[in-house]
This record gives sequence, structure tokens and C-alpha cells, in this order.
Amino acid sequence: MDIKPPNLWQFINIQHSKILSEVFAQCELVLLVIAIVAITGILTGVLVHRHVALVEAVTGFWSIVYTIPSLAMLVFFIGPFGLGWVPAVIALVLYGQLPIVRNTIVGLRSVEPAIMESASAMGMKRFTVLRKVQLPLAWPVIIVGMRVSCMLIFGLSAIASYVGGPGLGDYLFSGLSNLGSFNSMNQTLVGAFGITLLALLFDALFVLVKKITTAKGLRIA
Amino acid sequence: MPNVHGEEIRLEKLTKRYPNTEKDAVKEFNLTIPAGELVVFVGPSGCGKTTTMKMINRIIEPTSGKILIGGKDVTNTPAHELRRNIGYVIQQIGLFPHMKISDNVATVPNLLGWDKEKTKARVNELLHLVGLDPAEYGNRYPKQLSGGQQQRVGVARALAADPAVLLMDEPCSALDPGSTLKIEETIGHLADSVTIIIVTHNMQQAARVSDNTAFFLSDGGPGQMIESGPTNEIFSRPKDERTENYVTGRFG
Repeated sequence: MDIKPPNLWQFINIQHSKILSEVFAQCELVLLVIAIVAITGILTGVLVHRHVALVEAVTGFWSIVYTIPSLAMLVFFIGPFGLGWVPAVIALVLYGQLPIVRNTIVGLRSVEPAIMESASAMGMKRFTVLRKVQLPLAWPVIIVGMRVSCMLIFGLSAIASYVGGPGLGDYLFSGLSNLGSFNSMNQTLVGAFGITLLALLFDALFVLVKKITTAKGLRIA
Repeated sequence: MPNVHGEEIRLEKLTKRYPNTEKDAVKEFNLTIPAGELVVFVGPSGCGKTTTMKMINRIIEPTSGKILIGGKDVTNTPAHELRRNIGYVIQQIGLFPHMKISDNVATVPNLLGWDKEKTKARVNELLHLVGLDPAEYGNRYPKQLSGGQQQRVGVARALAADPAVLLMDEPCSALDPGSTLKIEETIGHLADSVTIIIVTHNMQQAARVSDNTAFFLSDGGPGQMIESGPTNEIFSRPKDERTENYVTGRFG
């Protein structure tokens, strides 16, 4: 008897609970990484942005990290941390730094000198200037950095399945490695489209967050 | 105007040398401005007048010398404390684009922790003073105002917490005549209650608004004050030929 493999819709139907749990795991991974990257990246940017030498050192460092092949980086962290979430999270956090560190620095440094001078001349302390003036004005640039980081992290999170990281990457790779066999095409498609759709969804979410969190006075054309 | 009291400004041997330069931009500068007077600093570019003014609120940190305000040595007072008592208006305006007009004006009262009612009343009073209806403009953002209107807000912001001293760096260059007039009127209202220094290239304005004029010049060396005195004398009977050349528009 000739058994036909299910088509994509049937496959999704059959596997939906597993797919859904991988979707959640994927989102969880990306959100966790984005949160860590946002906190550490913005903090780094805030700390170094006033010192040209530090700015160059830090952006130089993260640029070099960025050029390390992703698979090599992931495999590197298996040594100390074994398989699973930990090496995946560490590798993704390292990759995600550059866009957000760079945009935080650019955003903070590009506040008009007249505005900075006014803020200090009004008697704001350094930290108040940062909190009340610089960060709100730099925010649209910072959030674009977060958006780029997010896309980068999504792309790499698929590969993170190689080191046992969670998410739809499993489908993609098991599908690809068994291509030609039963259901392998369906697995590949679920992995590829799933990740792409999620990435687009997150991207849209960032557009929305940017709109909501940008000060009204800056949104006026 | 409530409780505004100008204070005497005294500069003693005030000197500024910028890092990595060979000579002083301003050298051992002495000047006393009595409380409540309005002095204009005039002179060609590079004469040290802006540097001198910006040393008073330490936007430019003096290399040596002393600044006394109201008889008190403030050379080493924490800069943020000193500045809350000194209004500051610059040519580039520098309003905070993400804050409403009323919040821009309320900047220093908020830093000083004034209560909301008092701040609001003060903001309204000042917007009226500079000719902007608070009901119409208070909730707008800087980008929604013309340059002239923005600078009027800049002046209101500088005056918000009743400063003893007001420093203005080219406040009216590039403004429409209407706004210039309104700002000059506002300055007129303050007569005697705030000590004011205005750096300007506009001789007509200097003659219109000031009690005293200080003329600065640099002969390639540090900026120096060539002559100072009552404005009408500086403009009509200058003692120094260089002052005469400048105020009559023969150079600079």
C-alpha cells in the first residue's frame, strides 16, 4: 500500500501542539535574549558615549565579535556550558550587542549641543540631563538598534538549535538533514516559515513600540 | 514681578586658557556689574566676550580667577546649584523638543522642587509676559512654534525661577522683528530687578536696551575689555579710537 505523506496543512494539524510549544520556546528565547541585550547594550552605550576612545574600543570589540561565524561561536560555548539553552543564550546575547550599543552611542551623542548646553545651564546634574533630556531624545534611535538586534537574534536563533537551543530551528534542521524522507519537506517548511513569520511579527511589534514610546513632541513632523 | 532681586556680579582676574592652546582666550579680566544693571558686551568675533559671559555660569570653566555674585564667591560652588540662580538664553534657543512649552518653562522650578500650583501660575505669568497665550501655546511642542516664538519661550524658561542674574548670548539674532521687540520689552520689564548681561553684535539693540556697554577686542592676544561705561557715552563719545571704529561700523 502506498502511504502518501500529509500535506503541509495536515502536518501542521497533526503536530500543532508540538509546533506551538516550539513557537513559544522560540519567542521565550528571543525575548530573554533581547531583554539581556537591551539592558547590557544600553548600559554600555550610556557609560561610554562621552569618551571617544572608549566608544571606539567598545564598538571595535563588538564589531569583531560580530564577524565570528555563528556556528563556531555556538560550538565554542558547548565546551564550558554543555548543550541546551545556556550556550544558545550566551552566543545570541554576544551577537546582539553591536546594533544596540552602536545606536545607543549614536543616539546619545547626536543630541544637539544647544540642547545639552541648555540642560546643564538650567542646573540639571549630569544624570538628570541623561534621564530627562538625552535618553528621551535618543530613544527613537536606540529602539531602531533594538529592532535590528532582534532580527539578527531571530536569524541566529534558528542555528542555535544545533547546540540544543529551543525553537523551530529543530524542524528546519531535522527536515533538511532527512530531505527526501517522509515529512521532511513539511518539517523544513514549518521551520523556515515559522521563524520568518515570527520574525516579521516581532518586527511589526517594534514598529508599534517605537511609535508608542517615542515622546509626542518628537513625532510631530 | 514677584521677589526678583538682581545681584552684583564681580569678576576678578578671570582667565581662560583652552586646553592645547598657547595663549589665554581671556586674561585677568576684571569687571563689576552693579545689582540690577543691564550691560551689553560688544566687540568683533573672537574678542572673548562670549567666553567671559559663559564663565559666569561656568558653562566654560575658568582657568583661574574669581567670580562673585551678590558678594559671595561662587567660583567653587557646585555648578548645578549656581546655575539654578542664573537665567541663560542662547542664540540656538535649545528648547527641549520632547517637552511641552509649559514643561520647558517649568524646567528650573521643577528642579528646585516648587509645588505644582506655584509653578503653573509662574509659567502662565511668564508666557503672558513674553506675549504667548498660555491656553493656546502651553500644551504645544517647540516644533509647532516659529523661531521667534521659541526664543520667547527660551526667555520665559530662563526667568522661571526668579534668577538674580540673566545671561543672554545673541538672543535676538535671526529673529523676526516682532519677537525681537517682545523680548526687548520683556527685558525692559525686568529693569533693576535682575542683573543682565547680553552679548550682541546688534548695535541698535545694544543702544536701545542697555544701561552700560563693555567693548571687547582681541589684538591677536587674549580678549580684553578696551572700554566700558554708560551706553550713551560709549556710543556718542567713546574714549578709544578702536571703540569708535567699532560702534560706528567702520570695522568688525
